[in-house]
Amino acid sequence: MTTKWKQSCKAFLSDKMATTGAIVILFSLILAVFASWIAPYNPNVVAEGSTRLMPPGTEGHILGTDQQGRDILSRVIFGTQTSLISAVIPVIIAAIISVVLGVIAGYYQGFIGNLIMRTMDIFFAFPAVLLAIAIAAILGPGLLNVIIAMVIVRIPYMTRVVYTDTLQESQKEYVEAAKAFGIGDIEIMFKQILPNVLPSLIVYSTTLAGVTIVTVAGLSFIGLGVQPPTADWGRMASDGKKVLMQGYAFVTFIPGIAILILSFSFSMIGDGLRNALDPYERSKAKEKKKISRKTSQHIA
Amino acid sequence: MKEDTLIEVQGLQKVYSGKRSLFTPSKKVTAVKDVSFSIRKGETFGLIGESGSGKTTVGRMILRLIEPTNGSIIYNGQSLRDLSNKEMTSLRKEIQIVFQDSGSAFNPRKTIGAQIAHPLKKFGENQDPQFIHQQVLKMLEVVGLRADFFHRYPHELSGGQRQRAGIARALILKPKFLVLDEPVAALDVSVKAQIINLLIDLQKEFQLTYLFIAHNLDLVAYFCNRVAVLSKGEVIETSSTIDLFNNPKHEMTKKLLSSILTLEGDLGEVYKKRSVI
Repeated sequence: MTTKWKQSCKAFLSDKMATTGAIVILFSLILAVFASWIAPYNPNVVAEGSTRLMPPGTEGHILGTDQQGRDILSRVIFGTQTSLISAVIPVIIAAIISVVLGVIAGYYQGFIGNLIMRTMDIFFAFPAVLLAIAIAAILGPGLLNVIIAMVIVRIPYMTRVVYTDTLQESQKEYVEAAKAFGIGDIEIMFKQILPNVLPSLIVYSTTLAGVTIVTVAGLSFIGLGVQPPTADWGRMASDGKKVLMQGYAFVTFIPGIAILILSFSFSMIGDGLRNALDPYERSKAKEKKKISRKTSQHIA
Repeated sequence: MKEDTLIEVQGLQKVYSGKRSLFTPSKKVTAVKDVSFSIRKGETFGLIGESGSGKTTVGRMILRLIEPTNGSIIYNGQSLRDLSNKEMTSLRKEIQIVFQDSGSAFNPRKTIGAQIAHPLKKFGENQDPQFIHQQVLKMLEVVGLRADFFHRYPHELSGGQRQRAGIARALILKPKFLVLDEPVAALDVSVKAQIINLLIDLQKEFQLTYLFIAHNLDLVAYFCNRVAVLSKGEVIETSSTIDLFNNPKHEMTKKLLSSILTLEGDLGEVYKKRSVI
């Protein structure tokens, strides 16, 4: 087990894009956890001696101040908290529910499978963002309700991924071999099939986490997400739109760039994770490295 | 039922109900119409037929991986279809299967050793990990694989090696009856011969009874004692291998026999023909 882990880590670290993404996410995690120590000002209060809309680069306010005179850097740092929470937690919860639903639907098929998948189709009928807006509007604004909305919105997509993979895997002969030994359904589903389904779900989840950051920012932008004065990137971008055309674009752009970087980082680690988790991909990557090393020696 | 019969299949039938939709009545597909045969202890019984003749389905039904629609399977005096799930589970130790596609017969995410050990861990009497490890190593040796294959992943093995591992896994619980579902169809000629010879050796060593499923007759003469020819879900001919080869009764059997590729005849003639083309 430990050697397996080591191999996986090695494979992941050899992927530069993925490693960069992981470092960025780790960095933002540190920012989120230690925000109150790292941030130079209180994010929700106008600091003494600062005026409205100071441009980036002003002394004491590296990223400037917003239209209320609050330090943008501090607000961006505190905004990591809500962004990470609203990206990661809904995806994890949705993934757990989807694994159970998707594996059961794909393994048993028939009536149970149809019942689960047709129910998912009902959710598919609505565009994800619209559904999220509808749910958030019904539940009312607030971080918890945004998370609930995102879980509901993500489940159909993830269940579909798990379902298709399970369908494919359960037709393979290793499943029949397990049945021929009299191994029970639950063990076959969650010990034999699940490890083969999980990698694509993990890859998909990381991508979805990136998309979720954007969607949650969108909900905040239209006022359904985190309520002021709590610092939130979507809300910050929304607040900045009033002064966007008056030469103060940075108020909107800075949180926008933060959203972009974080969501892009999640997408980047997706591929690296897949390679690291698959023993076949892993040995392929090793082989590639060997060849490239050989050729480079050759050239040298 | 005779004394020395191990397994007897009577009137086995499998009908798939097919796709049903709102506007069309369900179309029934008969995969296996009527199959009966009996296999004696210690013999190799061939089940031959073209693709689509239902031979694989018959093999799977004997293992109860597919539930038959009709018919009976008597194993050692017990009717397999009347057994409860619990009784069937304990009987599964005695009836095992070797698959055609060794590539998908192993879980790609677990090592060969772990997968051979799995049935032992689940159903073995001695649960000492040291003992299980020893048993797996012993079985690897029996099928002609080195001990270091224990920690390898399935994709790191060749087709022939994987098939050997597949045989090791089937034998780990010391079964009495083995369904060989085209075990060599996906292998190249030299490896084919090695695997068949291994199976013959193992049969002697462990007193195994084989049901050998194949789509052509080229290995049957060498490997099987008796043969049943299957066509469109029905047994059209059952006889000893010698009789089948010398005196085929059915048209279909003759066709199968003539399709065997051999190197008999004048090779020079063949080359001449080729050069004309």
